[in-house]
Amino acid sequence: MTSSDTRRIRSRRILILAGLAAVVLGISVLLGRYPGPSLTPLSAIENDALARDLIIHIRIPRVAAAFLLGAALSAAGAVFQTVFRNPLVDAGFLGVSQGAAFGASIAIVFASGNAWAIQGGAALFAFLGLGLSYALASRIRAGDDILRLVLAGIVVGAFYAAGTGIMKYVADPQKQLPDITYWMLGGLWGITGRDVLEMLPVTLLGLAYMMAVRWRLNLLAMKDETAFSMGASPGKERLAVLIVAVAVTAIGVAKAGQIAWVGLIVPHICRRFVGSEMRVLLPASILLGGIFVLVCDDLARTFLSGEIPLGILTSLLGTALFLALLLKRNIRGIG
Amino acid sequence: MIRLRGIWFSYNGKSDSVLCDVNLVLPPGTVSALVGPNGSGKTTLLHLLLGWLKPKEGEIRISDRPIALLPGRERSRLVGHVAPDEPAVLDLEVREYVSLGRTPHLGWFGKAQGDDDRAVQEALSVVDLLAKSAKPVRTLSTGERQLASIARALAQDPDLLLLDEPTSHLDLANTRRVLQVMRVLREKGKTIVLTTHDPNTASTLADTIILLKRGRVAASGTPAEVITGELLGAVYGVEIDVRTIDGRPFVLARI
Repeated sequence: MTSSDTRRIRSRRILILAGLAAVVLGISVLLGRYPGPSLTPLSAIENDALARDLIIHIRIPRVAAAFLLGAALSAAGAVFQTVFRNPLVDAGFLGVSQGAAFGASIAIVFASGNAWAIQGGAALFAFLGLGLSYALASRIRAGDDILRLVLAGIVVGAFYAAGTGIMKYVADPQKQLPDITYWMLGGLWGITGRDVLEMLPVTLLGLAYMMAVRWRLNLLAMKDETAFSMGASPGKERLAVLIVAVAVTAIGVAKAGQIAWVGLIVPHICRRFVGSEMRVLLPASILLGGIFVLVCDDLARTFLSGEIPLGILTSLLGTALFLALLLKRNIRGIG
Repeated sequence: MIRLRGIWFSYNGKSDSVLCDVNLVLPPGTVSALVGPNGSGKTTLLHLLLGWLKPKEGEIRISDRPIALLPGRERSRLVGHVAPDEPAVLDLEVREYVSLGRTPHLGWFGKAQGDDDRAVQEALSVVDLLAKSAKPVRTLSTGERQLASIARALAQDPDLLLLDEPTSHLDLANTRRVLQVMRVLREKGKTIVLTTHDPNTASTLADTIILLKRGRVAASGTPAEVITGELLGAVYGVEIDVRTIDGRPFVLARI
């Protein structure tokens, strides 16, 4: 098989994913428990004002948010795994997830659970996680740049986890503690059109930046001096793409709480079908990530009459898929 | 022509100089081997030639241009580098990996053209890895991985190729393959600087051997001038026998 054959096959697979994404998006908009517990018939959209309002004001924002969230988390996961040369990290790395959880729990305890404070706190401390990890890594004297960042990320993540523990301990057990727990389970039940508009600029610009530089990200998976020999500035380029990856993660986590496993598992599944080259892996991860979270959210809001927290479903499906890949020895880059 | 003038180097926060007053001239189309004990400054000197490290004092000029002042893209078209054990963690296929070498030649958004595909094909052909071009790099043997790294640097098409321990961890057959590739490159007019722990590898291939001891050039010249019992004995601190085969000196350490 020639290189152009391989390229053609991979391009076709990405087109198939794009088609699948369009189908899942369409079905998800029609899927719900009104007027019946299945797909809303097209006639109902014409004749039933409530069904129309429901689709425009509730389902479309939620479907858009789920797709954006999945796309952002998966793209960030693919970026983190590549630049850290480690297939077992995701965007929660470097204290980002733990920072978001800490920020949200502070807001729940000290700002009476104000939605803006929770989102702002989560985003702020997610970024602080990245900043602290970099600052700490510069003072560690062991290993190369990557190892120092990994070590610093572990320390910062553990520090934030302890902070979240303290917030849980001091939280009012009747109101605040359940709020913290519920936030950490993750979900999109309160998403509005305004939330989506707030997510859109950061997420779309972030994804566009990652797509534009994806051909250079392969270099960052190599030794720094090797990347440098091919014209890269590994330190600067790595920091720039990590800031962008954390930004899209932070805005998603701020809106939806902790949605685990997406950034880890989706790039692995994509590697099975399109390989590890970031030119194809990144768009595949964006599309499949969007589909994955959208399907999980569809289940979360329709499977039972009550809402299942989205984070529980992504974790359940994510671990099952990860186990399946492990048992088939299909986790690329391990062993 | 590559010129190193009065190079001094020490790592950040350390007062001990890793390299002291290194002056060298490396003519184009030649193979130079940096030889010396562990910690003598071979890899540091290679990283200075790459521009990855900056000398504390002195200047390195490649084709009469100071390497430290060249923009990344221009520098990477002049100088290529192969590290001893490049990671293949997120496993690319061999062709994808070799294609990374074309990065300095690509335009915005990294679109490859026909020239790029041809350069990759030729690089794979030189190292005899065409048949394995669709395999993941991680499935290659150590020797084949080293050849893939060399092919990646060849696809980059630099004037100066730096190789850090290109034959370490390789068996005899793979060492021979790597040395044959170096010969082909020299015939194509490339300038090669390599580091090696093995004076015999240097003697087999190099036009010039630069013997380093504690950051200083202890000797520099043809293999016959540098590979002598006295010089190597003084640098390594062991008794060494030197035999001549086909006009080239070879080393045997006495036990």
